[in-house]
Amino acid sequence: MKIRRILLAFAVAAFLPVVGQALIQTQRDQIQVNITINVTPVPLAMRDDGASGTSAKNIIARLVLNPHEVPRNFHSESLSLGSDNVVAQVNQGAVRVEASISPNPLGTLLTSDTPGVIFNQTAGTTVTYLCPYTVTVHTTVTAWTLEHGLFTDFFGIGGSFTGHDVANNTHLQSGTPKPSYTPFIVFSDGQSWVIADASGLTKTYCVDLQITLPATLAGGAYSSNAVYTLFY
Amino acid sequence: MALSLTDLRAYAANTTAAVTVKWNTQSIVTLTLTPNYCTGFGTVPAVIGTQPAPVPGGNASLNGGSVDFGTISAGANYIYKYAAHVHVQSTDSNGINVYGEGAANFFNQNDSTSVSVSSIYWLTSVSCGSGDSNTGFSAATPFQLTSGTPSGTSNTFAGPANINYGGVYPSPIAVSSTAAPDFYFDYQLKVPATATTGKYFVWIVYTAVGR
Repeated sequence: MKIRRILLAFAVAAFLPVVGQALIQTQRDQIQVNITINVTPVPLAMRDDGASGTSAKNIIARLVLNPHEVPRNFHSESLSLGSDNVVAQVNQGAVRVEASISPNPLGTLLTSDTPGVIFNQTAGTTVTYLCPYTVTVHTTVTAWTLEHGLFTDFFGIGGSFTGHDVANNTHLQSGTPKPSYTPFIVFSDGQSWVIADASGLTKTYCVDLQITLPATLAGGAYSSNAVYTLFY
Repeated sequence: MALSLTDLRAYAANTTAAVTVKWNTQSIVTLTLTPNYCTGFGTVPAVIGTQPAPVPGGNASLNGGSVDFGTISAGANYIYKYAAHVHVQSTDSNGINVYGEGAANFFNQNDSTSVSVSSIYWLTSVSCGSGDSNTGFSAATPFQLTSGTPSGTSNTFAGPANINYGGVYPSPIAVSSTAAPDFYFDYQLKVPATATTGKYFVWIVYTAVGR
């Protein structure tokens, strides 16, 4: 009995630092990577009903050039165009976007190699993209946690689709991919961020993506933001 | 249009002939662009939870000026609220398409380097008074560098900027089946971590064309 109590106390003592570390870690940096997918709608299939020939019985109208037609020239003495029909159209406008960019006070603590990635994909298909972007934690801290997920589902002018249709395989760039892909969580749908990795020191991760588009998706650009948050 | 056509041979015979004339007219499209179209315009850092108050840069003013993000950090993300209102008046009963593109990349005037104009994103906003709930994490679509021909002044800070598409247009960023729609946009800026220090600018050009 006494030995059991000692073992229990030892187990608790060993477990406490792990729990404590998770509890006391605070957010140090947060970045996002935009994922935009230019969707090509599923092409309409042509029905082959065997009646596509151009035999005479299928022709219901025919245009024939009359080679004997005499050219007729017309002369206009006082052609006038109403001023309300010819206008200089003001169909463009421009706005200047400007910013003064300064060095990041957090340096390169948490960075991605690109602010966003763009894919071209046909609705109804599944495509895997190997390492379209990387995420790097650059620190001397020996114990940190990196969380990730999508902030929203994917939205575009043609509608939306769930962020769960995009799965990730986040692995060390120097290592090998995990055996399987995991759908992103979607924060704005009420889900909690999940841990991408708990590690230490400087690490760079490849984020492989596997995107499955619904077959009914309308064409156009759809986008969401993948969010990465560093705690220690 | 008043049009009078006469067959020359008709003079000799002192007779007239009826002529049917047909032509196609191009729809009349007028676009009005208003930057900073509502009180509360300006830059907000991308944070989750309670949103800080928007703070525009010095070259932004209500219903005018630039979309000026002010001083921001490399590698960080921001949203600019109430960036642009596009109003279109058209005679095309089929509606209109609106295109929005960068006339150039995001140009650093200090060292003449550039980052991609696709670091700037657009997302739909709301009319003034409706409450803009977008954040720096809301879904947004990157602006593209135009494949049209920008005017010579498009690469200058003073502008103005125009793009000649020659009839070949990119994918629209907004469409409408009505002849006089309004579109409202916020912008996001995802500054690359590699962006050098300096003052950047780019012209975003909106074009409306009848469908």
